[in-house]
Amino acid sequence: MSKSFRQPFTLFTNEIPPFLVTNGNTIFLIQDFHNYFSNVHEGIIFKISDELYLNEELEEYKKLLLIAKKNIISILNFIRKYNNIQTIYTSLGYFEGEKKSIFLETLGWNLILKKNTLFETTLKPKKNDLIFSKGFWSSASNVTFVKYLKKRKISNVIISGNFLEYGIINTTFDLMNMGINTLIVSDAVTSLTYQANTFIKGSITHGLTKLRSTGETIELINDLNTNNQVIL
Amino acid sequence: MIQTVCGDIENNKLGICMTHEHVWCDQSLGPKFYLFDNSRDKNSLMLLNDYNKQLSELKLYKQYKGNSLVEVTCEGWGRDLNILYKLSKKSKVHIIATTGFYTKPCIPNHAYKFNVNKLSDYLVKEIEVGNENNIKCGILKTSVNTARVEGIEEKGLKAVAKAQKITGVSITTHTTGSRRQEIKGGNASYEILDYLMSEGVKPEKLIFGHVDERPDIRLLKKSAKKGSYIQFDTVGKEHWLLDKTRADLIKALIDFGFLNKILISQDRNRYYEMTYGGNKGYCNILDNFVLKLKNVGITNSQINQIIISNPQKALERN
Repeated sequence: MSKSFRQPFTLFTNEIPPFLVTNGNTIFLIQDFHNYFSNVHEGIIFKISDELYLNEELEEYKKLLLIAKKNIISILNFIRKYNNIQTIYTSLGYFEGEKKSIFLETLGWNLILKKNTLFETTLKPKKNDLIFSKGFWSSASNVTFVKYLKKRKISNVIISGNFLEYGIINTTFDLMNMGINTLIVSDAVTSLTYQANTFIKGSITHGLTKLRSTGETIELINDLNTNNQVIL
Repeated sequence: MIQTVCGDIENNKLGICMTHEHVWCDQSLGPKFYLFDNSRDKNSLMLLNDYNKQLSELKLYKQYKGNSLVEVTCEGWGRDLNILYKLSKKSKVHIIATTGFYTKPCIPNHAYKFNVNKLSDYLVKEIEVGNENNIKCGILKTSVNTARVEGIEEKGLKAVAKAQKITGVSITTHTTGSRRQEIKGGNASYEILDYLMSEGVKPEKLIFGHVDERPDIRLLKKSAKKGSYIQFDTVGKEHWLLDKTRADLIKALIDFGFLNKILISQDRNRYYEMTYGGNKGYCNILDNFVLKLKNVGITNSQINQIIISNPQKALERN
């Protein structure tokens, strides 16, 4: 049987115009890939699933998570090699001293972020990378992050990370409303199920954001290093 | 004349023809396979490589009165002219093989090394001389994977245009469904038409494929008006478009006077689309979609024109 879904909305919408990617106008966003979600042993989702006997529910997520992790690391390696795109981590939760959001209260998740233990070794931020907390699914819920985007006149955000169907899609909506283009790295994002992954990639994001694979994103970074600008 | 893997045939020997199918392909062989999304379900790979099963599919197609098909797999992802020849001989289905280019992940390495002229010469040789057993291709293909014609795909497009003018065979096109949202006007065909016409290709030698993945009838009418063929070639793939809507669009194009410019096909390239995968394989149109065309008021004679007469003209080498 076909794994595809009907996506009639795309038959009515306008096209997404080309993006101009230059040194300095684009960031690479790694959203919600902190240990709370991406560590299959210690992550909060997995711990709760153990308690609730819901392990099988997350098998597809685990598979997508491992692929996304490998692909995010590949992209990071190229970005760090050329240093032409700023890397930013945004993570659901709150640092000590920050107020816990109503959203987090509602979820019942006590996601206290500790910089030293936030990411696995292979994904650890480097000196020039930035880390922002967020109290809601969307990265744009953090006003400091939004101020950063405006101050640096960021035009494009390349997005990777966890929960395409929750956090990432919300970020793309908010960035679009701010006039910022988004590119989702289609195999460097997770969803909880294959169906959600396929449906979101093929429908809502289709009319809203560009989708490129990890291989294509690495080509983009390479081309940017060679030509200083790329039209996407 | 129409050039098949078993030699030239008269136009009127073509019979019922599906103009955009795959018989032998393996997407994973693409030299830049890493450019594809690697989180996709492995079952969604375009892969048809079981000789006996493919032979059965073609024989079944023959039983349904299907007589010929265009195999649009290009070199770079498993096209095998010798196997196509054997399958054609055994099944008695005429197969028209393709030279040219699929999208960037599947473009063969030599395309990067050759300049446009040498690349064009290579394509011409595939049509004029054929492979080591003189099995020849009968159509050219060009593909655009993103919103613009650029890079290696542009080079391929130029080589294809040049080869078309030398050989006189037609060009069939691919645009990528998931990228179509990025293309101005929602469909690449009109932009490719302009591009190829600027390279000197006559519009009537162009077959625009995949128009039903995101059809905009305003642009389809424009392309048809210029003389190009409009190919609804994902019949049965209702995640792109309902077959009923395809039928409505075809009827509308007929009413606008473009009956002689319409082609239909099914683009079978995954096991689950074949009869051994639980679907209708190459017989879907003949077994199912023809009824849907009749239900929207398209006559038998018009259907015959679409699946018999139009392919003859579209595939004629001149």
